[in-house]
Amino acid sequence: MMIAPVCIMLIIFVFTPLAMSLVRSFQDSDSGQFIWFDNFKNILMLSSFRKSFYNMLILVPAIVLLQMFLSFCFALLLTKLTKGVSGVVRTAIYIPVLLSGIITSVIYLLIINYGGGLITSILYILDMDAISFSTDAFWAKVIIIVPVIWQGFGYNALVMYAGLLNIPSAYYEAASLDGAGAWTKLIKITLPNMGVYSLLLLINLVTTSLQLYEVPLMMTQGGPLETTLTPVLFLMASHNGGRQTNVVIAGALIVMVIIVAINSIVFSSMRSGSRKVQEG
Amino acid sequence: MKNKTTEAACDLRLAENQKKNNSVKRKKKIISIVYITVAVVILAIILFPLFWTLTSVFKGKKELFEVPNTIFPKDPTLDNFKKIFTLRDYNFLQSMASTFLVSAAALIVNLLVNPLAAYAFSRLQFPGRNIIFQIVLFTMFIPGVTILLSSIKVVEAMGMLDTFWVLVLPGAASGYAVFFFRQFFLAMPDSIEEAALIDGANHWLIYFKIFIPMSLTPIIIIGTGTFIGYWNSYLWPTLTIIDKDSLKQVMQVIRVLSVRYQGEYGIVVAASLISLLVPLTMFAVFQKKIVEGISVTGLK
Repeated sequence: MMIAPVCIMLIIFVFTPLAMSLVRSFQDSDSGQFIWFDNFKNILMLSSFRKSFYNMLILVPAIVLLQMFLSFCFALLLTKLTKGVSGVVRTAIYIPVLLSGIITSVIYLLIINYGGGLITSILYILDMDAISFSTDAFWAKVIIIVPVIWQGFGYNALVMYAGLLNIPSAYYEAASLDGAGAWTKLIKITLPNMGVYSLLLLINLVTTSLQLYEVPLMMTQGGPLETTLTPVLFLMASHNGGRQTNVVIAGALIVMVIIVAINSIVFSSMRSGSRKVQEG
Repeated sequence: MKNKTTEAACDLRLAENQKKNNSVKRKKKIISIVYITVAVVILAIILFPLFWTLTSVFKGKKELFEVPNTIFPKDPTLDNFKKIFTLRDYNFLQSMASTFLVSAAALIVNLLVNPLAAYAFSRLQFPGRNIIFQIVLFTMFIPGVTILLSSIKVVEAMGMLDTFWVLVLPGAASGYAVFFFRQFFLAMPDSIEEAALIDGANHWLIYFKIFIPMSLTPIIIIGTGTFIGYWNSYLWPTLTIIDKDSLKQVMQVIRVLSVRYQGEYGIVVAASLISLLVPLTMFAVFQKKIVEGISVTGLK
């Protein structure tokens, strides 16, 4: 019937590969024998793979928290603008969202270029030394985090904006009558009522930042010394480098488990948080 | 009986209130100007990298990376554009055309299959409807990395590698698109179908002649999202288009250019800007619906 095309395509292109991944991760790549958790053990023994997860301990919270905070603040600002201005601003900030990770990186590579990019020029005028971003362990992470946040900012801000618009003004009016100030209103009304929207954004941010690939590929290639190596970057390099397919698949499943685990934690803590709001 | 003192007192109070209102109005105006200024400044900072890239493409090899650099090129040149179109090892225009065809085809397939399923899930009754919908929805939450390598094995077994369809079909059925359209269809009143059903129309007719024409907004939103998503794809084309150069997608090519032409980076910048023309044009045409769509529903 009408659902046939979608169902057939999903079975072929999503569920079959999913089942295959699950099965193959337990099999030897060459013989097909079931070696159970050996593939998982092998990939976890690789220090580079472990390192990529340690890197995410810094990259993911930085990206997620900064993005949530900045886009929320900007969304608040958006609500204070007049309709005409708001429309123009909303359209303009969405432009970076249209860019791919590759193009975003090309733009930022221009800016950070050690030999004569924008930042080097500014530092020169300020009589300071140029920074070699891609060879410094700290700055290398910065040049991953900034482009990623920059690119996603418009989308996150607009979703936050939608969330803000959906809070009934009656809440604020009632609070004003009770004498509440702007800060109180923010904490007791705005934040708790952002519920669904921030949950959606949070899960989306966690899922995409844990699978970061194009930006680190272009900006740092995972360096220096693997300090900006991401799991997917490592898995793809391993795959291209000829590592056993099933071992790489096992690695991908580990990434999936981590994504699901973190999203579950986020989901349940938001749930209990909003329950507290309803009781309070 | 008019009392002159109370009348004067009333007038005085009116005048005082008007003064207060005027000063409140003025304060509000100043505050709103401050907000607008802050927003515009932030906007300028965010868009500046794009502007910098735009002026950089007109800088020659020496000027592109010099210290101290200037915002506007001192010696503007179209060299970068000339070079990108005359590369010996890569046909950039071909990759643009190829990507355009792939994205357009993906858009069409997407809009053919997903709303259809959404209509069935929202307006029809059949056994297992809810369970199947949940399963379809579930696919939204599978991280891409999980099925990536196995998907290559599947399309390889189907003989699809290095073909046009391997770029179009795998992602066409989308739990997200089904969800999006279903939400939209659910919001439509039942009365629309009732009249048609009484007249003896079957569901396919209702779908194509009534629901689709009324679904311009989600069609635009999902359509542009799909197109731009395919336009920007890098990893999947890289893994599935290996030998057939004519099918190579634009982001694939730009990545290779960025590695190969590091010494003449202006070429990469030119390629990037040209590639941007397509999504930017789409956005310029449909921006009202797209931006409103997110701002109102929170969904892309």
